[in-house]
Amino acid sequence: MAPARLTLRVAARSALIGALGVTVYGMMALTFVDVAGRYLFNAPLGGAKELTEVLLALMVFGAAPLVTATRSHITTALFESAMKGSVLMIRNCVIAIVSALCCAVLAWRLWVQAVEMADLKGGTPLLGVPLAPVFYAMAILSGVCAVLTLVVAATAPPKPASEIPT
Amino acid sequence: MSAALIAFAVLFVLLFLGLPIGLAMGLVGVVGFGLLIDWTPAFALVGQIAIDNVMNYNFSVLPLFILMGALFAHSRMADELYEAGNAFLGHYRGGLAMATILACGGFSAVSGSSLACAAAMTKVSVPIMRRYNYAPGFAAATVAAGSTLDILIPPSISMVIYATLTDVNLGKLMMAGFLPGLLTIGCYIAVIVAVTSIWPRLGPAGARTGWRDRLRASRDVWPMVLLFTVVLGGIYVGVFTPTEAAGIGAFGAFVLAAARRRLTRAQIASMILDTALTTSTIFFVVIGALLFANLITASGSAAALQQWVASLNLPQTALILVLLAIYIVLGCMLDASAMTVLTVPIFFPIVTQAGIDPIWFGIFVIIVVGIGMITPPVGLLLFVVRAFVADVTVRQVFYGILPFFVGDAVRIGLLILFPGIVLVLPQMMK
Repeated sequence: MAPARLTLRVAARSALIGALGVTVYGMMALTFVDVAGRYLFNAPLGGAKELTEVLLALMVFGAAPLVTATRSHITTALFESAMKGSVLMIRNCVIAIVSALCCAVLAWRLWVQAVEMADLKGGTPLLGVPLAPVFYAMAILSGVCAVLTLVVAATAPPKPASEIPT
Repeated sequence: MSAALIAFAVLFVLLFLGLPIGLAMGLVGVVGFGLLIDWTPAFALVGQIAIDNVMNYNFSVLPLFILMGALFAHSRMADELYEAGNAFLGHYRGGLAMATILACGGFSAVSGSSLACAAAMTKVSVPIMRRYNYAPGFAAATVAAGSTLDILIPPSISMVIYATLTDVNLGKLMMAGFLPGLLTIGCYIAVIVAVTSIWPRLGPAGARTGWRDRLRASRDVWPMVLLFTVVLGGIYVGVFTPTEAAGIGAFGAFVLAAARRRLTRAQIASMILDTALTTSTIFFVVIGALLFANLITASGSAAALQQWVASLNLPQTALILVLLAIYIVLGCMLDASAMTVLTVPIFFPIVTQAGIDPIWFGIFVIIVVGIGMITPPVGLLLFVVRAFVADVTVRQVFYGILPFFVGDAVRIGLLILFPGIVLVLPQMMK
């Protein structure tokens, strides 16, 4: 059972890195080809801008569950070391619940926007890439963040104060 | 006005409790707007602001510059920069610390995040300084101070955020950071010279390097210089927009790293994760801060503050000094992106109304935000550096950073007296 779960985790990690890699390097390649095309061949890549915008949105929300899982959110942990025992536990619970609520509200609002966009059948101006699926993905990923926040708080040991994301 | 004060008070309580900065600002922004005005628009803004910003083409510079920095960090560029600095300066008293500042400056020219700079340079330079018996707190503090250069010398995440918020031309803002960056390097090196002359035991001389090794070390650095020149030169001449330059820079860094066969699969994976993760955390802060700033604007406090400041009829310098004090206090509690997004929409109208140049103010904000990041008790960079040198106490790092504030005072004074240091390059652009 354990090795199978491990393989699953490795596979999930690779898939996530692959997907994020497409957004990161895709954005780089799009910009480069766009500029090179414009100056060298006098033929800019039509729609590079709007594709970049879609990739940016997918990158930010694609990485969001990872930010949650690794607890890389930027925080100001001033009095963290001053809290101990049950006070620290209560505080951790409150933080986790409030954080999860914030993500849930974001998910809800993005879902509303996605539904509106789907009704309008809205797309990007030049290429007409449909935006509703992008918004739905953003909403779902925010929802995943909400759930993950609670799971991480319940299962992982508290994060040491000195551990700041780089 | 009172609504804004309550909002700030609640925000700081949440921050002290340890709620992530972005979520805390967003929460206060939405709940405050709901209580003060109406809940329907309060919630509607969440989706709208999130979508508008993650799909903003101007912000696509962020991941591209972060990727460029990550590519350099993973291709051992930080080590090579430091080796080059050492080869020329290491044998002087305090020389390894001066080399650290120079290497941070070099790293800043290809990277846009002070946290990235601190992480990369600490691993490289602190062990070597300690091998030569540098005082540990002084060694760590030098890296922290040097890392503030990263948001000042273009490319810079803070500049992208400032330019997007204010519609100031990002290309001009980037050029404007260049000379103040050199000035800062000069000030910090002067601090190191002074400190090590007074207390020689803080930074003893290292080994002398022969000319052959010096030449070899400089040869390793040239590709980075070339790329920086292409990226910044392209913006200066007007060939690229900053976004295009970022795309070219990231692509160039990728080709250089690949050509040196420095890219393993594991490294490519970790760079992707670094870039996406950093970008995502910044966006959480940006979205939250915009929601909060929106509450401050809607409550009428920003306008009231603006009128009040106008009625005081302060001379420009007095206004700047007041802002300086506010930024240093805030800098103790917030990270660079949060502070920029939170304060600039409030202060920018006041400052431009007083006749202060928007580009000059941008550089000023970036400098003081940087100083906030090394100010005890919460200076973020001090903790990042200390996280990599676990046996150094926080107190040692705090003492180590103190002399650098003299350098900061001097450079801010110079920028106020001679605004041309900031403005001459952008004015020469078309």
